[in-house]
Amino acid sequence: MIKISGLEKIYRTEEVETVALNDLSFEVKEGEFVAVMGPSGCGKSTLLNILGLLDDPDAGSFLFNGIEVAKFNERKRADMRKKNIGFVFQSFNLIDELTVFENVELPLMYAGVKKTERKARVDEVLEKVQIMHRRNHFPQQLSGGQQQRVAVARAVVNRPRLILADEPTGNLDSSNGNEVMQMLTDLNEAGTTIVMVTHSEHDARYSHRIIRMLDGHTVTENILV
Amino acid sequence: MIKNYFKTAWRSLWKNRSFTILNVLGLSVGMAATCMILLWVQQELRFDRWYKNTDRLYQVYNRDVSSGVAYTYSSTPNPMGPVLKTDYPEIEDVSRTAEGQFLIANKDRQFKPGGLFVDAGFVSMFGFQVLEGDASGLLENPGDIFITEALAGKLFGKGDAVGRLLTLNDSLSLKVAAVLKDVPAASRFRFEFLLPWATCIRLYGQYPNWTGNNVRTYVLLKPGVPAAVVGSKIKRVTAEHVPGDHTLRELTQFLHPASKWHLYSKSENGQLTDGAITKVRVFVLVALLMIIIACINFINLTTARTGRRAKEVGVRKVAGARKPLLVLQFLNESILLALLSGVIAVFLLSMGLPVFNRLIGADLKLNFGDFRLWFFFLGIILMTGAGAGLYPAFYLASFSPVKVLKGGLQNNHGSFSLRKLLVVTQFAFAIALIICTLIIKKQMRYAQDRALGYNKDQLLFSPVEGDAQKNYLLIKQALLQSGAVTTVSGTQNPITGFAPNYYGFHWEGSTERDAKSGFYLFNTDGAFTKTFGTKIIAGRDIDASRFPADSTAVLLNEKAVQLLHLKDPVGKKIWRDDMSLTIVGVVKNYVSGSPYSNTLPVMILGPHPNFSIGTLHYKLNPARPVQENIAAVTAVFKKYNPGYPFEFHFVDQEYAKKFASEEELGTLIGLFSALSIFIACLGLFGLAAYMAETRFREIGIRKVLGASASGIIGLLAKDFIVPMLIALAIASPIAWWLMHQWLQGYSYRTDIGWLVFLIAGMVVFGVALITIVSQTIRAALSNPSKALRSQ
Ligand SMILES: Nc1ncnc2c1ncn2[C@@H]1O[C@H](COP(=O)(O)OP(=O)(O)O)[C@@H](O)[C@H]1O
Ligand SMILES: [Mg+2]
Repeated sequence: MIKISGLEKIYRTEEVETVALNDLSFEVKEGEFVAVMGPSGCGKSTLLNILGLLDDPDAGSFLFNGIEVAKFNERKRADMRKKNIGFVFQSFNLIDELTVFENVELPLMYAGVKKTERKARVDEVLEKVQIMHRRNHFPQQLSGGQQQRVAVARAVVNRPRLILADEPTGNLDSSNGNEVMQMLTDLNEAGTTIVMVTHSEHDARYSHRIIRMLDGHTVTENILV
Repeated sequence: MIKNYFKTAWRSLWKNRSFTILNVLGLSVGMAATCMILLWVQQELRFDRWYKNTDRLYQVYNRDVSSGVAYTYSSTPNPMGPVLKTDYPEIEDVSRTAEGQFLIANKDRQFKPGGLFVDAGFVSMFGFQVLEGDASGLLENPGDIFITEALAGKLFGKGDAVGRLLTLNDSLSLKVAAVLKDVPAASRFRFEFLLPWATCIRLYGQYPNWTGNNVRTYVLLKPGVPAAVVGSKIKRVTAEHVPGDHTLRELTQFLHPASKWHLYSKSENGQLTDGAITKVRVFVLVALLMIIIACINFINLTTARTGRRAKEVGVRKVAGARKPLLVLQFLNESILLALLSGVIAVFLLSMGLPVFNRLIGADLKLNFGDFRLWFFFLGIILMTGAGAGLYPAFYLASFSPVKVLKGGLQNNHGSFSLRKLLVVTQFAFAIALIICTLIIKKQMRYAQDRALGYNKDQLLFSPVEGDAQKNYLLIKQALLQSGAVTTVSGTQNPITGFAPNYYGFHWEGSTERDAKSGFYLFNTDGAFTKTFGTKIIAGRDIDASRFPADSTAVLLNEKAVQLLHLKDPVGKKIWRDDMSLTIVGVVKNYVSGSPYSNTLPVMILGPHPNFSIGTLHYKLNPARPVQENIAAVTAVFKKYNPGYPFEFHFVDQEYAKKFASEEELGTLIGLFSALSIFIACLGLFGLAAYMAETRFREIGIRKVLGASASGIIGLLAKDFIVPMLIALAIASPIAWWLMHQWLQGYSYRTDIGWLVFLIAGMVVFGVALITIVSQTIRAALSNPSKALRSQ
């Protein structure tokens, strides 16, 4: 599903040049659950942004489902993203002014799904993540674990083939964290490909394979399953 | 302590430079506009109120009733003045005035200034300043003339003027008895010379009867005499002197005080209740609105940035600051900002005043040596600073430190709706002003596009004066022979000028009521249709050379025919005490008098002995260059009237002058609507920037989830579009009502229509949208990963 080779990303500011990704290559197969680990600042988030088509690499190739997307323009990337990819962030990134229901509904709205179908699908995922009773609350009124469950619901409501999670349990206590990891595992078992960045060895054990990074490189790959 | 305050205030303003610049820009433009209007208002309020005896000066007015409607007019009988002075002990002095424009010459320095015939008391009653000459026995001698400083300069240069001789109309010799200071603009009296009443009599003869109203009469009451008492005594003075005239049954006289001359000069139902005061009120309102719009910017931008200041408030409070102290601190900031804006406003004002003067034909000045002006500026600055700063100061200072420091301030929905309300207010003002501008322009255009009914193309007129009167026929002949003109027609007044109103006509089948119908008289010595291009629709043109009886012929326009309610007017007779006329034809209606009034009933007389020729109209030969034609005409007039400088007017230019005051009003309101939009958009600009900034994260999230850039802009713009729509909905009926009232003053008026509202709405929408998009487009285009990273 994902095949990157020789990927490079350099951030230039007025004073410094940071090499965030340096000749990075690996592959992720359809249906895999991959964890990416490494010290802070080694380029994990940068990698995830590129995989999620939020950002483009400076060099290298990125095949997504066999299509070269590294040189896609913003509109094509957005289109591809809308159809295939869901995101879960460490800090949830829910919109404070919208209710739980409205937050989850957003991707469907942008995908042009009709109102009646939107309602059915949002209710379905909210049911699945067990937050249905809070559907009309605002994010501020929920606990961290509940907020992350909403974020996961929002990531999957569009039925993406790939979910990218950047430290999804980073802001959660262990019981809430486990709940979220269980949800991701369930999704993976249902066929969704998952790439997850994490600091936690415990969380990484939920995955099939761990990619360890250092200074923009892959260092090792452990296959768990 | 104060110094410390100012230091922190200054630092805070400096730290938020872009916010400061937006505010200073808005406030300074607003303050400059407000000051400009207030200066003008001050001049209007001083108008005719600075005379030596303002509180004792009155003008005699008449009130009469015509078909049940009371009306007033200010021209009075000639003998009234002297009678008031001798018969009423409460009256200290009286002066009549009558206007005149003459050729006044010191050898070959010739000018044609306007001036007044006055009674002896005129100068001292009003306290006009005498610069040179004897102030006692002023204007007693019929050979005397008073001239103003300006005219003296033109006639005599720098030298002494008193005692020098002048000639009037190339015939009368006069001695300069005094030089007066020029009359300030804020006076109804516009004169460059004064002549004694005796000269008026010498030039025009005595007018001893009480039935003609041709002069104005001013009285000075003795100190302590109530005007009401004198008013009731003179109430029937005219009627008392024309015993037995039943047409004067309802005619009364009353006194109009000098303090109201300018502001209350228009009569409504026989009361002088309207006039410049309306314009003053409107512009005081506009001045207030300008400053309010600017203050709203400050309030909105300050409260929008609450999040940033809240923390500071929390820290200060924890450190021991009490609320009043914080209020003071924030107020300090706004007053400092107002001070800064005030300095720039004074600069803008001195730059803008000449332009403003040109636009409205005023001569407002900034006298920086006058401490009252600085007082005025200081007042405006303090009021603006307090007006803008009070609410935000209390708002900011009342944050609870615990809440602020623990969680940071969440979006405060309450104050946000206040902000929207204020934006609505700003834009409602701006939209209303734009609608008014559009309607004023529309009305002007409507009147300008009005079918004139005569052809003003290449049509000119020149006064017939001096030797031109006796050489009149020779001039006509020479003009036609020169080939420069194709046709000429002599009249009493220019076609664009004054037409006297006559009533008391009778005709076959006319009633008592018909005698009250007024007709506007125009006279011609021939070639009326050919010269003016009017259209005869029945009968024929007047032509005394073919029909000797045509000295009593008359042409009627359609409107006059309607008033006469005659089926077949041609050939019928109409008569009046002093003339008997035969209708020879009917012409299509044409515009006489104001282009804003309904078509007037006009009678065009032939070469009737009661009417003299004072103006010659002529059409230039279109086959030759205009310059050449005018040179030829000039040569003819110079030859037959060498004592006078040649003077000519293009009818189209004279006609265009009739639109000047509406043009001025339209320009002014247009100017202020543009300024108000500008200021309001500055605020919008700041708010939109702030919105884009605070919603940066939200925008990122939405983009990750698939929102397009245009979708994001739309999202941010939507927040402002709804207030704009509400503003339009509020402004439209108010503007409609105001303009509906204004249009009532014109009998030839356009309907308002819906298009102006649409245009105003679109203009404001367009400008606002550009402002918002310019601010949000950056946020909408930015890479979403940045927004999500920055936490
Ligand atoms: N927008 C950016 N501009 C400049 N430098 C950046 C930017 N984003 C990331 N970096 C730098 O690139 C490196 C990798 O960052 P990141 O991918 O966020 O690391 P991680 O997620 O592994 O902690 C870091 O040194 C970071 O400072
Ligand atoms: Mg990271």
